[in-house]
Amino acid sequence: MHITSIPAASVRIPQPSSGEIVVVERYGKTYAAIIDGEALDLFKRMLAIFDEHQPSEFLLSDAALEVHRASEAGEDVEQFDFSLLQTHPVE
Amino acid sequence: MRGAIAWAFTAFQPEAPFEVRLESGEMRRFGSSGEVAQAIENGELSSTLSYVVAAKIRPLVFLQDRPRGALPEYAALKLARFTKLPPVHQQRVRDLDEPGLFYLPCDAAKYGLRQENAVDLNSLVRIHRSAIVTSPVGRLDESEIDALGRRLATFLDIDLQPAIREGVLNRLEELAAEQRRGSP
Repeated sequence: MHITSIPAASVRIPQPSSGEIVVVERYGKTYAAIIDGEALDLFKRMLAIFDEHQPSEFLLSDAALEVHRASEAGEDVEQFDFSLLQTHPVE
Repeated sequence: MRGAIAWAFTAFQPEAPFEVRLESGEMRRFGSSGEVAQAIENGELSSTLSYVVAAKIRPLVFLQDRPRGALPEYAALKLARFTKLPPVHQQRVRDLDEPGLFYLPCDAAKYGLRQENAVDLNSLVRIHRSAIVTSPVGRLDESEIDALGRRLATFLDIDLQPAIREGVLNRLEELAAEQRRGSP
């Protein structure tokens, strides 16, 4: 993540209070976000921890989690074909 | 067995509330693992105890060969269906847009399964050879096994980058040393 610094005197931005994120919207979509200095430090620390090796759980979508839950509960698993006991016996 | 698809008994993970068989054969339910440990300390249970867990015959992808037969357990991943997902999410699985699910299309000749499935990358299990129910019904090809292995490393949170970086640096140093020896 590249961070560019500009003097506060050169722009007009609202003053974010601690723990607050000011989201700037354009055409109903998030255009930019303003966070206070403490939150920026926290963000940098999190980047340092997670940027290079992100825990894989973050990669999982809701769909993947739903498949995992159903599978672990044995709810969405192909049914065993008992004829395999004859056609594919364990050697 | 590496890359083979076969059916085996898989036990569900023990989870609270725990059904535990006492020395007397009586069953007792414990609300937490701490309560079970306390019962062991109190002498109500032996330190090696019997949980009652459900089990199911299901298809698995086996990840290892055991050519010596010295180790009786195999690492394997469970195959799951994804019929409960909304159609748009099912399509994401088929389009390979879900890194946690390795899609296997319906191909009975190759995979030996009657339906389409996905390998759940978060379902690593160990299967004792005596729990295997069938010989392999199908098999992943080498490129699929390779892709599965790389993704499995990711989902086990194994960071391969340092090893790759070290290998690249070592090779660069070797090349530099060869150049120095070759130069007049």
